[in-house]
Amino acid sequence: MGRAGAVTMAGCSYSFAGSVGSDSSGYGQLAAAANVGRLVAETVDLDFSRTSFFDANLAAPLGVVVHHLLRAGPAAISGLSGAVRAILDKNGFTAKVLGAPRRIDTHGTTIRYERFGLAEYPAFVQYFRHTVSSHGGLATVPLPNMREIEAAILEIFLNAAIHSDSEPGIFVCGQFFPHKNRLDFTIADSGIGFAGSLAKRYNQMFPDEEAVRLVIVQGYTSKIAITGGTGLRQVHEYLVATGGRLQIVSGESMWQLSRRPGWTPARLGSRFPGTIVNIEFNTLTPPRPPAPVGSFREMF
Amino acid sequence: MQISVLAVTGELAIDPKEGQQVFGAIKAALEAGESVEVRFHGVKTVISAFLNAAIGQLFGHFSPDVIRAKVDVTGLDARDMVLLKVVVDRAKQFYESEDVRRALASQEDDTDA
Repeated sequence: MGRAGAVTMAGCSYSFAGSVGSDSSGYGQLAAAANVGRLVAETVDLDFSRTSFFDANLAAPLGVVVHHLLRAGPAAISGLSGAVRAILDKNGFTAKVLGAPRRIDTHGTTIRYERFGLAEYPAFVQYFRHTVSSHGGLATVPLPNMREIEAAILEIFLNAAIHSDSEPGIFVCGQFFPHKNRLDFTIADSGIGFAGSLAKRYNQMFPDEEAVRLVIVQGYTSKIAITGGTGLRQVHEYLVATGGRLQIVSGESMWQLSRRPGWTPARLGSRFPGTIVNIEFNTLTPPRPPAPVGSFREMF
Repeated sequence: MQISVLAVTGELAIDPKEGQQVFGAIKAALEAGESVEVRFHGVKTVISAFLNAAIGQLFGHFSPDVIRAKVDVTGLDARDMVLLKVVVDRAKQFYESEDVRRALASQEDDTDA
């Protein structure tokens, strides 16, 4: 785990330690970084000098952490070097957040870091079409897979835009692994989380872990007069069928879905200030052919 | 009457607000006693957030018998028909709940007031 709350001459710092990946340890470090205590006007420094690896797609929740810290005062990023610096330069994170020049991705595997306002779904669609659908590295992905990938990512983005109340908007980033036939895409926000969203509907604050379970497994919805909860469940079923993976971080809890063992919860140890949805698509396994359901009038 | 989803959304039927527009048009037609064909021809991408608003919501306002007799949905391929069935099944279950019925009645009272 990283080291939190170290007091330096410049203020407080959080040091990301070792390998920061898309797992409970990596998400835990991001959550801890968002919760570093400080005195008024002190700068919080996110220190990467002890970081050996940083998953590219985690630039999205890192963006949330930076914005969360900036709401309360100054924040800085230091110690970026080597492979960690390279990946954050290539996916555009350092260009957006630090104003650094974007490094050319000669391998063509990064999916650009970006932030969108809650009402900017048309811009997100454009981004998706330019950076994912037409990504050179993904040209070999079969069309039925790409269609499911597009639908899944749009569902998750729309869910975040509608339910999160995230003042700074929605943060996205991805990474393609051509040799593993895998696409990772992460959508993060700085909003009220699953528990906050359900509380608006049920006037009851569920624990973070229970709130995610109620939405995904039980089909609870935060909408009063309209159905919901179908989008995430559809994505979940597609990923189960194709050997993908879905991770949801909300507040202090994380749920992970994979083919085996199914849904497993984990605690982060600190509260992430919003929600992270990370999807790992298997780009090669074809989706199941749809079972015939007849005409609309035969459905019910 | 026919309602062209393409005319409302373009090729992407994803925005629940546009789904609400389609729902409003279907509802108005049903209240006028007309039959409705909701045409998705030309639409390339459909997600459940749109279908919940445009079609699922009907089950909160009309009985399944009325919907079956008066509404048809055309132009969706096999994959999207499966998605529509998920939305319909979920909507039927959702709107049968007493809790939801009370919330809807309360909304309609507010509208009437």
